[in-house]
Amino acid sequence: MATEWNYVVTAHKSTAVSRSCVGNFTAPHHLNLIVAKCTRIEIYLLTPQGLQLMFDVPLYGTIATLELFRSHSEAQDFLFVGMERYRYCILYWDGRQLLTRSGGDASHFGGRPTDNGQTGIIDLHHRLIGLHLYDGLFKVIPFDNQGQLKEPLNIRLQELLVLDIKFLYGCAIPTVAVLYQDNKDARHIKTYEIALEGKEFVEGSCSQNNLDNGAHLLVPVPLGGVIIIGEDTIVHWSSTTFKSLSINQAIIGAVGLVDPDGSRYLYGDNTGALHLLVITQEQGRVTDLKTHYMGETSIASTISYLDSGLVYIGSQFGDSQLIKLNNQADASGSFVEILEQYMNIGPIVDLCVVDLERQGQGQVITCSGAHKDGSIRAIRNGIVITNQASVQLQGIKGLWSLKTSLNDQYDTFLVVTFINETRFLAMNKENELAETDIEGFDSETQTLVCGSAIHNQLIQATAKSVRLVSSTSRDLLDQWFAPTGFSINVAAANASQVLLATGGFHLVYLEITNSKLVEVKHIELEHDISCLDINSVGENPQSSSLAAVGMWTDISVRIFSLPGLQLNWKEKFAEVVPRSVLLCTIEDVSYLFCGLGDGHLFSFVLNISKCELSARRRFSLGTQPISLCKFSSHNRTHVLAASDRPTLIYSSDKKLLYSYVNLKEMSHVCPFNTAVSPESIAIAKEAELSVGAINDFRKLHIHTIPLNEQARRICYQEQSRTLAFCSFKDKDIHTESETHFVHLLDHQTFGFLSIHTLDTFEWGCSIVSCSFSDDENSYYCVGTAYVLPMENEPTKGRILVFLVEKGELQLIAEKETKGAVYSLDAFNGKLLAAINQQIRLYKWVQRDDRSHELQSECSYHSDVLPMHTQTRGDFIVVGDIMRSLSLLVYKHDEGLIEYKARDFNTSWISAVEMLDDDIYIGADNCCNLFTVRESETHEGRLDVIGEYHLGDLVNSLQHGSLVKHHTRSMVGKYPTVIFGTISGAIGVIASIPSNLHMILEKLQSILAKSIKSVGNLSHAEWRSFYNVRRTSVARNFVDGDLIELFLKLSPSHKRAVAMAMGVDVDKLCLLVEELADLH
Amino acid sequence: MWLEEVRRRERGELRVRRFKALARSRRAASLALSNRKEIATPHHGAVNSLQVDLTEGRYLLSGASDGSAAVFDLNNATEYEAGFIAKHRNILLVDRQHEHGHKFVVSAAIWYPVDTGLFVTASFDTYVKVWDTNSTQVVMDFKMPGKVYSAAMSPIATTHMLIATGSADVQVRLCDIASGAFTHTLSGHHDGIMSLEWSTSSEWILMSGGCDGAIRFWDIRRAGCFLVLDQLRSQQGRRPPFLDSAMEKDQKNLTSSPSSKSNSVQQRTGSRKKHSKALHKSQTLIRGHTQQRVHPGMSSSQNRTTAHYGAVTGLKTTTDGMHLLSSGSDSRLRIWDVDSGCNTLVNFEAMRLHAGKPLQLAVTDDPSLVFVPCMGSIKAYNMWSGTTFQTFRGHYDHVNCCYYNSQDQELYTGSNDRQILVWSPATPALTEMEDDDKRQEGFAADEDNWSD
Repeated sequence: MATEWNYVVTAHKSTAVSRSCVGNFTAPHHLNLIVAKCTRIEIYLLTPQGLQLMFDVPLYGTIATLELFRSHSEAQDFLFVGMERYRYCILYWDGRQLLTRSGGDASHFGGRPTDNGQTGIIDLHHRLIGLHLYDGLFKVIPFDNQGQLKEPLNIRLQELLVLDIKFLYGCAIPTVAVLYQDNKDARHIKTYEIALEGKEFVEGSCSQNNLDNGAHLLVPVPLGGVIIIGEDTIVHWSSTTFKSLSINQAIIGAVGLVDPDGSRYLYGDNTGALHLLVITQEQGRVTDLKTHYMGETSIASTISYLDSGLVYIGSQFGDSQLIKLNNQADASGSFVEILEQYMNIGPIVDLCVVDLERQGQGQVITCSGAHKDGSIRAIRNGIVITNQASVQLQGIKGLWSLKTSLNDQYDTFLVVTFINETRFLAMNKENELAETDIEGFDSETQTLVCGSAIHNQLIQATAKSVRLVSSTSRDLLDQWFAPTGFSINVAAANASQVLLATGGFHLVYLEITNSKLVEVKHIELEHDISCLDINSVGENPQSSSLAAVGMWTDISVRIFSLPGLQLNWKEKFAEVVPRSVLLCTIEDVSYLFCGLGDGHLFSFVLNISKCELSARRRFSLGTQPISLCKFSSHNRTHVLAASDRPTLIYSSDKKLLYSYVNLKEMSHVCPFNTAVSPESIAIAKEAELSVGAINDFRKLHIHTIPLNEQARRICYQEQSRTLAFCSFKDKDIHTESETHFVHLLDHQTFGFLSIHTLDTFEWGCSIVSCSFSDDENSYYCVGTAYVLPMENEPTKGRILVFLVEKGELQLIAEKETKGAVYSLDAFNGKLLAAINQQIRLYKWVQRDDRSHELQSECSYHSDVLPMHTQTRGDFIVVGDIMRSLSLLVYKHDEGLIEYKARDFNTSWISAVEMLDDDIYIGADNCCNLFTVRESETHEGRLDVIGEYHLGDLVNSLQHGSLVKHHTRSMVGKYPTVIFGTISGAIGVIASIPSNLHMILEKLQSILAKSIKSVGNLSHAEWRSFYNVRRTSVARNFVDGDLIELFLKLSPSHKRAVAMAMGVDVDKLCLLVEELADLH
Repeated sequence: MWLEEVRRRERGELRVRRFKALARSRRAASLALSNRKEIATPHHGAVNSLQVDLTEGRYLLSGASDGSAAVFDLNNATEYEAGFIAKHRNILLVDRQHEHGHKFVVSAAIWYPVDTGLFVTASFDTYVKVWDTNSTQVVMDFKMPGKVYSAAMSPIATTHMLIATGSADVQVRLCDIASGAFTHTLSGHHDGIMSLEWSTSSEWILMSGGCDGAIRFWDIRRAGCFLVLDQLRSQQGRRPPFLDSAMEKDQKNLTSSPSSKSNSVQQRTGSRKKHSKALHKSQTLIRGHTQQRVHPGMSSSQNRTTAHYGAVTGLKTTTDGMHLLSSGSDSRLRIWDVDSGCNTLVNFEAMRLHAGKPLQLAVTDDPSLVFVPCMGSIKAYNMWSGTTFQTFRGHYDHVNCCYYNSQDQELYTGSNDRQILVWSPATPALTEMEDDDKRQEGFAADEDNWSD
């Protein structure tokens, strides 16, 4: 049940970089890079190893401007931060932490905020901060040597549409250059001198009219003058010179200064091309401008030159990068070498939640990035294995770890086998893995199984024989040979038993005694054996009473009892041979796992006493054969299934859970527990052997599918197990217009299955997977619009109905519409479409020739533009582009859509979701979240019941959860909604019960008071609902990010908070920890 | 285009504010007589005043010459004609039949800015009445010395509840709802006061336009008016650059004396633009004088300065409070820079304005368009170029008032033909083709009309 109380928490922090700057912030000799990501500041230190993240500081505000500056007397820089909601502050580093020097509020009552975004600039020479926040107003804040701000003053600007404003270098009186647009859309530049005492601008000596129509950026040059960046030209302009350089048309988004004297600049455009601009000068006069192509990077939103050729490229559309500029071009003519990539999944334009195994754990698939940096990202909670060491090794066929004695805590040897040799590695004194010899073992051939046995012995099975070796002397103690003419095919061993299969369908059971191998039983089966396991289940950890055997030909798995080798159970599979079996006890329940050759895994519950298998479950893990391995970590037993999609199987509340591991592929795996890296695992990959450890049990990891075009709408179809998305490629030299596509992806491998190219000028606007009444198929329905160059609004569009057949998109039907299809929803076995201003319902009708077509049933004329629709039962919630939410209802009997209620606020909706039948949530353009419910007192009205400022624009809201919740846990009961934002954040909104809400609200207010905020910003003010018309206190929403900060407090601080709450500190910790499980 | 803009907003390329501004201005640009919304007026006389409430943006209040005032719910239609034409009937009406109704023309009807519980009507029967919306009873009334032409309440006031009223009398009176008494009488005008406007940036500043052609600025905390707008002062009185000023001094001496004469000449020729440039220098001189006075507004030199030749019939500030629009019986529209009090000299294309009545002007939020009742039509002008953007023809008689609802981008106009017309953004789904043609024409006309 959804409630009116919500808990909002960020599961994946913002990644899009909006601003960055370089300076000596943390120490005079430190070179720091400071990066702004939505509401957070990251401070990096440049080290010889690269950029090292020092701190990640959350702020109570969305960062609009970021500048480093230095007072004359200081050796370190101050950081000026301006917020979107008009707060500003000056921060500094005192050696241990970030402190606030001063701050204030720059809002101006009644002012009209600038459309082009805020500008915050600093004139170092005259110690002024200039803020352009409102049209027609320029605020100047003088500061003194200590970085203390003085009284700000407002100066009127005559120019109403200011595009950019910058302080100029080398002026006796503080001077700004203003780039502006007049009422005829022509662009001009002008300088003003600031007369501080008169609080006014004095028109400067120079101005230049009619610049490039795309001029949008000013870069002050230390030599004097300013560079004006346009779309076709780059101009250096000063009072005396005007040097113009024409460039290929591009929108330059970022410029970075290279040399302090301003003779070289780097600039990046919207195609990702990075250029170097060189200014030549003679005696302080600019004589020439030249530009050189450097190479391709992500589309830059900021460029920060660090040092000696290292450049940070911050991006909002793709991954941010640390690049090195080489002196020599590489083969492709690029001087750019990418040293490091920083993941950015923003802007998340759309997302869908896919519950692959119907476990309740969602995988979020996002349409991320833009232009050439567009991608599909698969984000899911999984196990993270951190790599500790790795070596290049080709062709590993098996991997085992050995202990000297079974009682040893740590493993001594690691056995690695190849096609015709076996190598032994051991930890040497320097704690490095070094090759060693075990004389008794055969190293000239492939090992089938290897293990530690009782009485300090080791066992090795090869094709020829089984060898028993003393682990102390490393000498061969005994050897058992395969019958002549046959070789051993598969073998399994535990501490006291060996089971092996030889050619001729023989199954042989050996027992290990002190320095002897004893053949106990030998039977002949009707088919070849594919895999074996005798891992001990039950009481005795050293021997097993059962053996699991997988068979070729009849494709079955059988359970034999030991030592008699009597067949107890036989389980048949359909088509694919079992390739790996594992007996295992987790949380006192015994299981048999059976991995098939096609990446499927079966699990059975094993009754040891009755030798019965029950509770057969099938999971699809990957596409390659699975090899299973048991290990323990964090005092729990886990099973790792190695394949092309490595998966960790663990159990919680006696329920098996599956979680993906952050590795791309692993062929073999074994536990490798050493003193240096306890509870690690050794992993064999295609060409590598690595040792890793599971340290973070659950963490989001992200799989990227680069597209080189931008995806806009995505959806998942369960029936065909595919994903489909609409995407488009920007127009380039080769194409005259954009090309739009519908792509089909495999839901697991993300391989491209099929593509449908839309018509010229046709844009894909919406996509949904839909099934119709009286038709068992699921279809992909794609809504399009014809965007013709001469039309103001699309007057034609289509709804395309695709069926997935043999991994191909087959166009089954199409329906022309009288406008753009902005949104599609499956609705009562019909299709609901938002077409321009109309909401129209289509039914699926069979024609005489048995083919189907869409037929319009009824329509509803909506408000301005119903961009977003969600349905539930017979109800439809419409998010209008500027008229908030309205609720419609479909009357079956009359076949009509009727208006029921609406919210009369003017929220500009960017996403909407129905939490349940009664409560709906919307996200608006002003970065707020709000919930509405039908009014009890006023008919036809939706009352706003909750409001909250998120500070980031939400593009998509979807039901789903990122984590699998235990049935018994508290948080598992709360319905959750996942959202994705422009800055690349993924968040979770959980509906919480009222009593919890009260506790959390109290905790929130206590924490807001007791945690000192950076910049002295107020938490309550930051989270208060805010739009142009009004500001009101956040209600019925709790800030989970603040609540979770509780876990990071010192124990004494925690106690103080708990004291203020009047509850036990451990209980409070437990509560917050449980809430942290939401993501 | 929505699709492209939405797409750019989605990925953060287009800032939200820019997105909204584009959307709003596009819709404002496509205004046409609404084919989906009609207001059925109960008035038997000319509609003189229109205002939508400031809290919800939902209730339209109208005042008419038959002494009636009515309220319409803009969100919920009373009935639908032909299935989709929403007809909005009045949900409240006070007329002569009402026991406390006005006897004569209602010249202004305004909402109490804080909520919709009260509204105020001003009438030629010399009364200003405050009504309780729910009970439709008069809560309070104020007797004026003459016909009341206008009433205004500050949309941003948090510390006072004053109704500013302008009547045939020369004084502006402030009526306090809290006490039921007059708190201020503001003297300065030489004739009746046709229009009043509170500042949108300071709750203390009131602007009044009189039949004497003056626009006066009052700070109600201080005595006297502090600024009288002068149509001839068009440049900020900033210190001129040193070199130029020396030269100018000579010129000033030459031009200062004949400047008053040239006024009358200019009036006849009507070529304002050329003339005003010639006058630049003398204006700086006037400013020089004013700076020495303590109460410049009361000074004799400013006592007769005018903003318009003839009466000031309408005043409207932009939402950011930086500019003031005024209309006069001289058929001129002027934009003033509020901060400096300068005439911005935007040259609006020729228009004919009704001279004898107060006019209610409207302006879009950005502000890019000004809506002016021009006799039987309403003209939309580009705010900064002064060119005609569009002419709305639909009324059969003189138009008195227009109100732009920036929330819904709708224009409401009231006229002597007793109708209230709704002009709303064209709906592409219904009128795709004709709409496009119209807009194309609009732009073409636009280009031809550039004046400079």
